Amino acid sequence: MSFAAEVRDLRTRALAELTDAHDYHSDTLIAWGTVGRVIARGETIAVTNTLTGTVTTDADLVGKIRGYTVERLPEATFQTFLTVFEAFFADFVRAWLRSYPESLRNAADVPVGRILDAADKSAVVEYLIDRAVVGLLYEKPVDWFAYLEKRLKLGCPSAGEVARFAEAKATRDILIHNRGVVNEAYLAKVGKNAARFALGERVDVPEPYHRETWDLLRKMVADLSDAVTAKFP
Amino acid sequence: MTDATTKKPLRVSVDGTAGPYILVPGEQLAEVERLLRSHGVRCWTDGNAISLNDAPAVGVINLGRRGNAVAVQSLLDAHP
Repeated sequence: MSFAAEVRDLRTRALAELTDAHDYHSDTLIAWGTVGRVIARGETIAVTNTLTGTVTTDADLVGKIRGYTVERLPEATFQTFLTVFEAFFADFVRAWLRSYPESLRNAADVPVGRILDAADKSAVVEYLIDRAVVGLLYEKPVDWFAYLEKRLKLGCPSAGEVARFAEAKATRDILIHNRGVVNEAYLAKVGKNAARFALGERVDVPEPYHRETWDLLRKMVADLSDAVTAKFP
Repeated sequence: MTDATTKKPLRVSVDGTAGPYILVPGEQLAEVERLLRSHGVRCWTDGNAISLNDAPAVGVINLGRRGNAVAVQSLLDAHP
């Protein structure tokens, strides 16, 4: 399969996963909203967890619905959006390196043990590709796209899009690693001008930001795919 | 500001930990959101206004954790 064909498949998969994640978000909001309306109408609910014996009532749910729909659900699906894009990006770079392994010519030395244990040359190349991709993902997002631009010269995403992506990724990192509370690492990754929050504040994922991030990631996937198709037909 | 379906004043609710919010008839969501934004209030809806058994649809306007419930209530009360 050609590089462009592989990227088109990656695009199809990533866009489908982003759509699926947003549908899950929307459907779950509708479900909780419906439960809230049913309870507001005076109906009662009692559900027994057969494993723990815990009984959840309408009163319990009323207290939880707001936190679930305004914070936990958007934060969870927002993280999924970023995960989908990262998988697309990693597979994109893998596809490029498999098609053009000459790009690995200046890679650092391969440990002798790796070579001795490898079944054949392709196994060594695969090791080099994995090492390059994993190493790249540990870098800052601006370096991810600089890496691509230096080698593929695709002209996208724009600097503004990269900055927005970097902020979203930093928000995701802070949700995962610091309970959502802004620390120096977030500010260093984002820069003072692009930071949405100050040191010590808790980040949030309001609906407009959630939607804009989803739109941004879809655009970046589509633009990268289109650029590859145009340049490597 | 009055709820078009119940004819009662719109109220800012503060229960839960996700910040203040306002339950608004679906037909008034855009108007209320516009009023708040025009006064610099950060707010958003989740894009859904749910109707059960053909009753009027209701949506939620969220003000976020840092939302000022008292100030927003005053704003709603000042715009009949």
